[in-house]
Amino acid sequence: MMKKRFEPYMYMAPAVLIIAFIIIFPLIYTLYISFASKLIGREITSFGFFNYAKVFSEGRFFSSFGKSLFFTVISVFMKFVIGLALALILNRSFRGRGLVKGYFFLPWCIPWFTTAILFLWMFRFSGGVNTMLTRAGLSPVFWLSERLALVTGIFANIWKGFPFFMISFLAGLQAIPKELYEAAKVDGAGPFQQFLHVTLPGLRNVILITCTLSTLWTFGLFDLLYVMTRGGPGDASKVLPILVYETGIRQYEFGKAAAMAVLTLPVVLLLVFVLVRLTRREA
Amino acid sequence: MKNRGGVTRTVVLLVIGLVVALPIYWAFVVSFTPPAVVLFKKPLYPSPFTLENYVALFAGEWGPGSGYSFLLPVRNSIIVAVGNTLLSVTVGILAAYALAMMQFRGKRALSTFVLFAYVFPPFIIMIALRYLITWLGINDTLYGLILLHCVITVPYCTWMLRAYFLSVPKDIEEAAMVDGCTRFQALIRVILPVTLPGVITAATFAFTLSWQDLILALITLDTDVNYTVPMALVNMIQGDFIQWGKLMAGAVVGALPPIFVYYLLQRHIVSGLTAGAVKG
Amino acid sequence: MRRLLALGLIIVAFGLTTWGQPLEIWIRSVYYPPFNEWLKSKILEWSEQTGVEVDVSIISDYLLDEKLINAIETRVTPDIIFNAESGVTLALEAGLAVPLEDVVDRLGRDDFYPLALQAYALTDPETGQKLVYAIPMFFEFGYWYIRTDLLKAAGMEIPEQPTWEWLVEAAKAMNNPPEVYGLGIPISPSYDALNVLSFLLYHYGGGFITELAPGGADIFNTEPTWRLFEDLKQLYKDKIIPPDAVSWTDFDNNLSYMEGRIATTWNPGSIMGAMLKQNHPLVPYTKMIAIPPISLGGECVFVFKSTPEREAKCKDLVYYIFADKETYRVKSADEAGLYGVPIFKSQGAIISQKYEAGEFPFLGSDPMVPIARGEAFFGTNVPYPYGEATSVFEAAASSFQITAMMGPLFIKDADPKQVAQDISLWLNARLAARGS
Repeated sequence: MMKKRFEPYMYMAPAVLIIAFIIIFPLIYTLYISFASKLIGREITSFGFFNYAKVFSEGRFFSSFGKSLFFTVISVFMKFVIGLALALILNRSFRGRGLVKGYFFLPWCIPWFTTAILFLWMFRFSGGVNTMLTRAGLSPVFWLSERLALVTGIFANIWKGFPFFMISFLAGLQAIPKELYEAAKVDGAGPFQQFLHVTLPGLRNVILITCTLSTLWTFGLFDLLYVMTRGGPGDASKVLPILVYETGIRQYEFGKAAAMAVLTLPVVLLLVFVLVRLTRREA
Repeated sequence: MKNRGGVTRTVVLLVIGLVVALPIYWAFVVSFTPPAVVLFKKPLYPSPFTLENYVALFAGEWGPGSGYSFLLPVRNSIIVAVGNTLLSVTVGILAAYALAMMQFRGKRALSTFVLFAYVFPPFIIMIALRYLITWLGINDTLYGLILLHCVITVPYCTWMLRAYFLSVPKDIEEAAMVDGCTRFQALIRVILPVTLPGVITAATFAFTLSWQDLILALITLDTDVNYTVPMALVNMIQGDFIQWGKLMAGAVVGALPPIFVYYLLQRHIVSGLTAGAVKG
Repeated sequence: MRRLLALGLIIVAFGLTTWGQPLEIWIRSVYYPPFNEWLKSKILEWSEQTGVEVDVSIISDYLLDEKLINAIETRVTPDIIFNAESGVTLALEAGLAVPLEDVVDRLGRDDFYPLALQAYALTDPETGQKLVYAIPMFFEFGYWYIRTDLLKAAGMEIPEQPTWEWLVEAAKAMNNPPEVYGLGIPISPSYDALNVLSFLLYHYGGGFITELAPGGADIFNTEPTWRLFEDLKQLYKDKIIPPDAVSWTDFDNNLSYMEGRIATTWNPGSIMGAMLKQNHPLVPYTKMIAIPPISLGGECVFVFKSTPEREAKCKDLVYYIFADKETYRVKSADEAGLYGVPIFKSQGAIISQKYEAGEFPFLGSDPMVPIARGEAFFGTNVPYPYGEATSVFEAAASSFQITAMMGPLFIKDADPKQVAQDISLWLNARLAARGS
């Protein structure tokens, strides 16, 4: 009887313990440092809310936050759409399906840093894409300009990130029992109705979790934009991770950077809270 | 009506396929063209075609004076990714099972906590992590990295597998329990086979997540013979000089193991695997 | 409590990592791979001769910066860093740097150009003395590259003593958008751009920081800076500077020059080195000229504190690397497109001889002349006129903030006075943060 009560905790234990072991100290440390005046390499000299005050009074945190939101929402949405479309298509059997699946998996196999370098090579003003445009007689586009830098970054993010959605949805689709579709057909439902009433509900949890994970990852993505634009021109593509990096690791103002990181917690927690609320056993 | 569906399908695949192809195409062009030609002439296809970038990778002339073949970082990455995948998928299966199938207090708190690993940008916590690494004495080791990568892969595996487990119809689980299985037997004999596509998928992505990590590898590994593929690729950037050809060649070679893993694992997924499960 | 913990960690860390362990040596990779490789082989040579075990890694600077921060912050450091672009001031502030005065003496103090010893003569926090904490690997010389074929077509010639004004004239004459832009100077967040800004600020008579206290950066918000920003803004508007220069990263000006898109640019010898290696078609049409004051890159070697024995061994290694001055010069200068010119007068004399003998046809003038005259400065470490390397400026340099804040001049048509004020305020805030 005792065993039964502890059973769930024993199943959870390895995961929770590993994560806790690695992450507890860094989390607490970051929180602690955010209240300290801490420059890299130096001792802490005082405690207080001054880091937060500084972050609030300088507008850069909020504009970076906004750029991060823009970047994340659009990227995740597009990845979701493309991933779902491809998953639906690839769920049916057809010749060469395996090859096509493998082909669309390719972008995911290239690390973020390399993707960034590759896209930089392509989208520099005198890079691959503009070369192709000019040879086709069109005029080159300044892809990394103040207006377009973030958009080009979004495109790079979508290119590399959609396989995650596609494959996760594909596995989810395969878990939906065929009988449900048959039952719906018997009830007179057309393909679109089936999609709405069988596919989407069946995929619900997978969709929620995939989107949440991707949102968390995309929001915190650093390598891609930093390598492509360094957050420039000016501050045009300076998403929050880049701002935090520059503040903490480059300007050596670690306390302030920690405060910025802590200030993003509410958004992240909200996201996770919504996720936990919405994912539940399908009736 | 069926035909129209087929045409739409092909069109969508082609369009997306072409867009996806563009960067891959450029990576190949740059990797198969001699460096000088690439910069000055911007050819649209490798002309002259050369294998010198790839040869350099294996001959040890690729990084900043590496002296060892690019296969060494590939081997390091494989060790770390395989080790971490086995670890995190196992741990994730257990945790996901509890989260999906059992009721207990603190369920929400624990499952939320696991996601806290994704909350802060890695370079904020990297200094604290470095303290931890030194204290454990695992700096500059590959097995240390296997442990650290759990921070990336375990939350993913836990939640993703939970999603797949949740889509198992209740009847299947109840049927297993009625048959007198313990919880664990139910997991192994019934749930896992039914959710195999999901588990395979989670394993694939856990592998790739570990494969691509740069920052944790950066703070753990010191000597260059231990570097993983992402670090080796970055090491080809020297100041304001980038060895484009070798970098792209390295990217291509470095993408092969994940693709290979994908093919290996995907063969085990058969569409409609779950179809007869309820009746059976 | 925290101090105890830190102390405990330090003791453990020292014990674990330094006792009987091989010397851990990091080489930040500079553009020229053979130099990195030669350094490594020389270190291994020394290791064989002395029987001291070493662990040598060549690390790209994209990786090194974070590793260095981690190392200094957690106080688990390597023993030596070669080619470090930044870090010595940070290490010193953390009490982790070792003075190298005895190495300087061993190498012959008189043979050093004064400039080499001034750059990293930092104030020892305990004694208040100025000691040499880092030795420059070489003078990473900032040249102006010029397309001689385009210059000739525009009917101009390189004068005896080129100036910035002449360069702008030449750039305007060679300007032919969109095929060729005259003035391919880096203006985006990058090290190159900061070096160019430093050079220009000197030239226009302005400065960055006068003292390490808040208000020390007020000198930036003055008339020379406004004039400079106004001129740069106009050059960009007139499309003498390519429009995409605002989004360049450190290698874009290299690439653009090698693509034939820009007629002039500022860069150390890496462009020529790369072109020589690839037999690039533009090699015969490129001249590298020196316009004083020369902006130098800051690659240096410094030693981390550990135990007296290890430090002694490290210093012996540093001596050994430089000791064969002739070979060192050949590897870092002669064979490397004069990427780095020697810090030793004896070697500098040879460079001058070789230049006179026509062995470096791509050079427009003898690089050792401005060095000997002291008409050079370290553009990313040492803020003018303060004159000493400081972590505030290192932070400003490596965070690329100053050049990022120049962005609005070009993309938003911002008022030069406003931009200068913003940058000066930001610098003052950094000075204030440092003092706290």
